[in-house]
Amino acid sequence: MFAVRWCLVRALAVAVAIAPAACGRTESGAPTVHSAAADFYGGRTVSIVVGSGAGGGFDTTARLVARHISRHIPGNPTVIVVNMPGGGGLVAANHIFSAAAKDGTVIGLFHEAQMMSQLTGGEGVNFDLRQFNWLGSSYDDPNICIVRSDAPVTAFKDMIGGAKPIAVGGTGPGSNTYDAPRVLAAATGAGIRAVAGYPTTNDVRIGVERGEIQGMCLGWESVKSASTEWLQSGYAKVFVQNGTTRHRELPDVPLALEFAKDEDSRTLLRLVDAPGAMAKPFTLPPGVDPARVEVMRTALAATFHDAAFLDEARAMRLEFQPKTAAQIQEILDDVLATPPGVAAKYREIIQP
Amino acid sequence: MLAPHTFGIMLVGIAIGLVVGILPGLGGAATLAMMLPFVYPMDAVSAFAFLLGMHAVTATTGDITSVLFGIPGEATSAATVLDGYPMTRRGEGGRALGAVLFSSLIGALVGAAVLAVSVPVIRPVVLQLGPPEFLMLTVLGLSFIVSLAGRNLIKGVVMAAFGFLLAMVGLDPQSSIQRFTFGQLYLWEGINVVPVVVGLFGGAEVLQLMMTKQSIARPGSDERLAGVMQGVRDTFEHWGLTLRASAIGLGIGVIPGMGGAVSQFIAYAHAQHTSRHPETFGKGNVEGVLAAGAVNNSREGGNLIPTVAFGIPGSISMAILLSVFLLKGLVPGPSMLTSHLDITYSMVWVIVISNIIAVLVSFLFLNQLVRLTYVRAVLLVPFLMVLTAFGAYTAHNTFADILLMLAATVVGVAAIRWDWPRAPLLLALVLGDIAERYLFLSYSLYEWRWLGRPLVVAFAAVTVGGLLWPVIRRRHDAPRPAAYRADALITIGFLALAAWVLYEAWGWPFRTAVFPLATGVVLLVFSVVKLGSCLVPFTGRVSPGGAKDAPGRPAETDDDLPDIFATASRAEWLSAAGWMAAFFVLLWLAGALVAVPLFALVYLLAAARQSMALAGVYAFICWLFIYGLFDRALHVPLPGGALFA
Repeated sequence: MFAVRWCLVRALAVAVAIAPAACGRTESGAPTVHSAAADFYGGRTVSIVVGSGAGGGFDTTARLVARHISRHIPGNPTVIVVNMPGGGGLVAANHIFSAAAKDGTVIGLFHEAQMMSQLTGGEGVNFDLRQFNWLGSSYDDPNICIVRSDAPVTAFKDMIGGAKPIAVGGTGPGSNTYDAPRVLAAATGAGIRAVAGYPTTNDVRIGVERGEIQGMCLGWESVKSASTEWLQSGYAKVFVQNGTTRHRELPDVPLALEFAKDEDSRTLLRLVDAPGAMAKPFTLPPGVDPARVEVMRTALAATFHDAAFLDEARAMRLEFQPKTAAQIQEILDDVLATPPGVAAKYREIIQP
Repeated sequence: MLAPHTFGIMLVGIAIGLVVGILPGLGGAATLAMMLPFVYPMDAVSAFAFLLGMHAVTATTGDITSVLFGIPGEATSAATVLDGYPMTRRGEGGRALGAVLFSSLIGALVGAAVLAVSVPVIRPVVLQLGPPEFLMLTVLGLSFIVSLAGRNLIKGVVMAAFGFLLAMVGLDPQSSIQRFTFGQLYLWEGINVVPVVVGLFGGAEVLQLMMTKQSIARPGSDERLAGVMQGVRDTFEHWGLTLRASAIGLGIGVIPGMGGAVSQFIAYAHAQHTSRHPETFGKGNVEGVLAAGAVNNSREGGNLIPTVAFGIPGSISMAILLSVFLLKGLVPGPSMLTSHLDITYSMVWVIVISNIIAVLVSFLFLNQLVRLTYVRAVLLVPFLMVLTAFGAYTAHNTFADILLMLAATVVGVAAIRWDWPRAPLLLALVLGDIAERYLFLSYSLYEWRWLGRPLVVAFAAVTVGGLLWPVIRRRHDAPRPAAYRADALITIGFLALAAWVLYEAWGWPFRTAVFPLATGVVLLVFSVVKLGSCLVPFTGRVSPGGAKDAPGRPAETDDDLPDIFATASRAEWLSAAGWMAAFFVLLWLAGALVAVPLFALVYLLAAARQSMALAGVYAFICWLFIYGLFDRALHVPLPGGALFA
């Protein structure tokens, strides 16, 4: 259908003589869309607006994709990364939702945890994540917790009702490093004390090395990327995972869900893990022409399967398990349909 | 050591670093990230030669605009302005540049040497320093407010309290509750130091230059003291200070989580403490320039240590370098000291060689660069305006950064005009957030037991000693600072601010409120004291001439340098402020690509009364620079213009 519309646009734009020839190709669809997109993107600049500063995990992923996606967009536009930090991605999400150009030249990449801000009625949320034109996410990044092997307690079942809580470091409310252990402790009764206030997750890691805290909770991909040596050498171990099913790489690590106190607790634990299922999602603003959305979805999917891209990703210890737009939409619909009572409880738990 | 091919790549990196360090709005982490695509095809050593070479040089040349034009490119160059710019105005720009670059070189060499020898033993040392020790280092830094304020102690404390309150703006790290954000998303992350530094120092200087009819540097200065080589000789003359400042930069650089601006101010204050002429600091004392320069590059060596030894980056730039480590199949951590020792040592060599080359190359053209300060200042105004705008804009790439910079400019101008020291404000802004964060983190971890940790006690002793030392050395003829009628009005403004802060913070939870409340009380008390001293022994307004002769001049202007703000007529004020407003309104409406060339053309014709040909060429070069280099070649985000959005 959109192929026909593009054809009309072209018919107005180009000489009448060639229009019938072009429209004759609408049955096959794709070539027309492709050439129209090539006409549009050729010589243009596509920006990926990242909701964090240069040098972080989101920035690294954005720059990796920016280097390779151009080959897969018809017309091979220049692709650049623009950093727009603020409010853990809130500034970028608001910008992409309303202010950014809606011609398909601005891609957004901001923190998936913004879904929790929207769910809990966070301040400054001026968007509805369900209305974005999602292109695809980057990883499946279940939230897990690690603990130093020399901590007094290292098995999750022993932590439940444990007398001496282990200290787990985090940045602050709104971040998984802090929210996850808070919810974990509340939903299972585990003796885990979340300490807030570290400037970045790197500072939390140093805190673990210094020994003032015994562990930390974060995404499994981040652990593999930054702390593989800890796990390989036996310095630290994964003691619990917050997903709905055991991760294939962590078959022996218990799920927090197995220890949930009641049904509400199970819902809370599922909420904590939900953002990780669509980690680092790329999106176009609402209102972009569906044909261009489709072009970009195809381009991103092709990038994720590009051999050169995968080589670089492997070198940086990043493993891509992309989710499609439909899967992202499903996760968002599910999470944002959480009963208000449970959402309020979640909000209450993460308050220090 | 380094293969010729690698050496060639390093030279390219150095060349880029030299340019990028001087250009506004570039340098630091963003530039490193932009250069990443180029390192993909390189081998590990070449990649580090390129990136580290560039990074080391950027840190060095970033000081050049601080010294020549009083416009710091980043927070870590702010202390260089304090003495470097007065030296330039006195006609000693070459000497100041020579000093800052050569002490940077020494700092880099010290940093590299320590990196080389300390890597095997550094892990246990770094692990001794936790949040309580960070807190005490912050307290030590804050204690220097007293010396930075000079004889204007009360004004200094008031400005520091103001800076502290600015540091409280944003989401409280403990509870994520908003403080003083007025519902503005921009303020959630807190007030970024870069736009504040650029406005407080740079914006105020640009306004000053628009009112003056002369050049930045006073003509007819002592030729013997004007040269770059004099600065080199100064470095050797004060070699002890240079080494100690290098050690400070290195020591603080090793600690992840302490920003670079902290070490520069600590080294600067240390230089003032140990100087035989502490009263000349802020008026162009070369010792202040040396300390600020030496810290800058020794810190880079220090920053590398946790990155290499733990695989945990100490700064954003280091995080980007770390991603290159991984990309090249290197795993930072203990293996960098065994199987990859050659890489570690080649990094040391890159730092050493690139700094030597950068300083040598800089010396070739520095004397030419200094000539710019003898040009009529109005000719520089469009260029310097761009420097401030782009410098601020790099913080978040939003126009709000520029508004913040302009607000800081207003504060900076008022501070110069009526003797309110700017350095304590900046120091408190940098340290306030860290102090609060690490106090609560220390308490969360250890409750009050952290007070008994040996290093905490040691740092406390150093702090107390540092506070007492000037008291012991104080001369008895300390004169009273100059008084102004406007002081009373400004103080009333601060009183109102303090009252509002106390009112706002009263309803917050304890942890969120305790720092703002305490700061509000300090601001209230000292404002009342200041108001009392304004009203009771008021001796009438000191005339502009009299103010200049008064010995208790503020820390920023020189006794014998003309104070343009005090002498300018109302018409000159209106004209300068009007041109400045016109530039930024135009920038907001039409974006950088239109606003900068247009402003250059009109300003040079109308205000500077230059020929059409010169103005045209100037405007064209501006456009070429912004479009060709920033927009097309480097893809630097520029203000786009509200009209075209």
